[in-house]
Amino acid sequence: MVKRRERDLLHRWEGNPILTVEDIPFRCNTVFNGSPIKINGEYLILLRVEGQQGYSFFALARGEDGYYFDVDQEPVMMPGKQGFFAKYETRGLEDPRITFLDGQYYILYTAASDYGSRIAIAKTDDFKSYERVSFISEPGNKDCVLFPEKINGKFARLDRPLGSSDVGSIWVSYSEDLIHWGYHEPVIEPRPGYWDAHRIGASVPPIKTDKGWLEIYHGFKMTSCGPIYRMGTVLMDLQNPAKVIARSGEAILSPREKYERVGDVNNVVFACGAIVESDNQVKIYYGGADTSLCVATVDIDKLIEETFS
Amino acid sequence: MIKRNAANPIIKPEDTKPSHNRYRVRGTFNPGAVKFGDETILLLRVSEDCLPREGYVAVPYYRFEAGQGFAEILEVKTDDPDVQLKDTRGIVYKGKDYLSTMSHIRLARSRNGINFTVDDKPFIYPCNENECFGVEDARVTKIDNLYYINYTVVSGDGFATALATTQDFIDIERKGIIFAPQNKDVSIFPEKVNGKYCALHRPNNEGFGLPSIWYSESPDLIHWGNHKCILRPRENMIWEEMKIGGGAAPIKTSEGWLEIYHGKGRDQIYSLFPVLLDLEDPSVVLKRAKEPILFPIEPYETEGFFPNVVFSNGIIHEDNGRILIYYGACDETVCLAETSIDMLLSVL
Repeated sequence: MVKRRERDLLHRWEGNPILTVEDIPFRCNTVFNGSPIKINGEYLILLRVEGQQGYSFFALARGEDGYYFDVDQEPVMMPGKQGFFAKYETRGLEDPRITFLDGQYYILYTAASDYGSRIAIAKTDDFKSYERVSFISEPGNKDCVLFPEKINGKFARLDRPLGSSDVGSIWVSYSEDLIHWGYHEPVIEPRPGYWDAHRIGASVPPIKTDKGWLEIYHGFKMTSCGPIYRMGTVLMDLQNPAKVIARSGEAILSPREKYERVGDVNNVVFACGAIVESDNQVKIYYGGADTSLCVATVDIDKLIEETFS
Repeated sequence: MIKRNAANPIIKPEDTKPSHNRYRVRGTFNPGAVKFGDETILLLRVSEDCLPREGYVAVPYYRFEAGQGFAEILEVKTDDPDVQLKDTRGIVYKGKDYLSTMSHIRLARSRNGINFTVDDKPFIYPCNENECFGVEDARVTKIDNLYYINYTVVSGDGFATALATTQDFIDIERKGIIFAPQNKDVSIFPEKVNGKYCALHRPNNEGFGLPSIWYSESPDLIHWGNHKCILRPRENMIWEEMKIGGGAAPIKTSEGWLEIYHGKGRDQIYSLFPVLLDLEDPSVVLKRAKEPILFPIEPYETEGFFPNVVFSNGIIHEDNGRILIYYGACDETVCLAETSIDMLLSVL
């Protein structure tokens, strides 16, 4: 008899992974960390694809039900070729996060270059043409998510400035124009002894709930065989996100399936976005082992409940 | 070229009262400098540790209450099973990190720029968890009759740069962290350029070359963006083998913005270099000195708490072109050296 037991709070879709390199219409190495958005019933996912050169760029997947996707014939964003953007994107574009705000789709992503990894912002109206806006951090900072609305009249974001000896916390900061940022404050730090003991970072753009801003973040602990990346949740005050209301004690998803355990980077589940459906089901899209894109679902109330436990 | 003051070092740790009766002042150094009325004010970095007692380990820490920090001491027996001695820089007690030496900012005042009286009370004292390991290396820039003070805050998240303002050097208003970790050595320009405030800063690009000087812009001195890398340590330059970082606020000259930055080189020796930035676009480097204008030679620069350090984040420039470079020596004392704008431009 087969024993079935849900090991994680999140329910993995039985058809996982939803995308692998086999689904990409052009030659590349891998597809993983993708950020979804639902527009008029259509699901789009901005995908991180790693080319055979070794650096990453973005492609676009489209689907009707959130589970089956087709990938566009050509990549949609490649490392900048001109001026400022060429200088700071020579090692690729990584981990996009889409936020819809004031009628625009903003894409926060990591730009990698000889100067280090830093956060950049681009925007699009239609996912056909993409306009780069600015670099919005110094090097040593990534995992940036933009809040979907202004807080006290200002744009707000979470990011992960790298601290001393490779540890890193999630910080919040504010802006009036999306280009210049200030009032940086720490939100949550790694927890010694826990699954997120070593380093953490924002994953999914914050979701507004009546209990606060819900953030699905990633963290890892170090083992003798390297890091194990998992997901957890934190609820932040609606008016002041630096104020933490609750934080999940347990991880909500841990690498378990083969597509999460084995790949270019073993033992990684890494989300870059989620869709909250009208029936309160949340579809969380995540990279498995830096080699595939997967989806898992959960009821938002269960997620909030878990955050308080 | 550059003349050290005969009275060097002009401020020593013994001139300064500790912020707690069982703290000991180890360093009064790396001062920000500003003319205020007929006084020269230095914003000293005062580092303190605890007086040792036989058989015990004692480290300072700050307790925070209602937005204020209070000096406290953790004292435990050396053989306490909960204490883990690290190197000389700190201990771990019940899983929590403590540093053996921490800093705050104190004012020193002078009528002649040489003989200073150090205030008895701190000026900027750690006030929240972001500053739990101290505040360091203040730099002051006067803009429109307001004094902007940026300083390094240290916590478990590393070091970052915070901003405060003052009108009178009595009260300060904190403006939060302007550069997230790891970032320090921030020099704010004294006026807008092309409609934007600007600053030099030094993020940590660990793993991607040596720490370098970056440039960024702000509409309001609080929100910063458009960061770009403008100065990297030069190859085959022993003075810059480890890193470089900005100093005091840049000085406007007829030929460009003059900045005196520091290099950390071979054998951890610090030295000072001038660089000239374009007046219209300070992210453009015009000239950079090939030799340092100051490096450790005198005994007070080569022997001390941290030997072979000369570090400047405070400069007074007078209308006649005279330049007074206040600098920290060996993370222990304040020293003074004099030069002129013409002299500095001539070596560039």
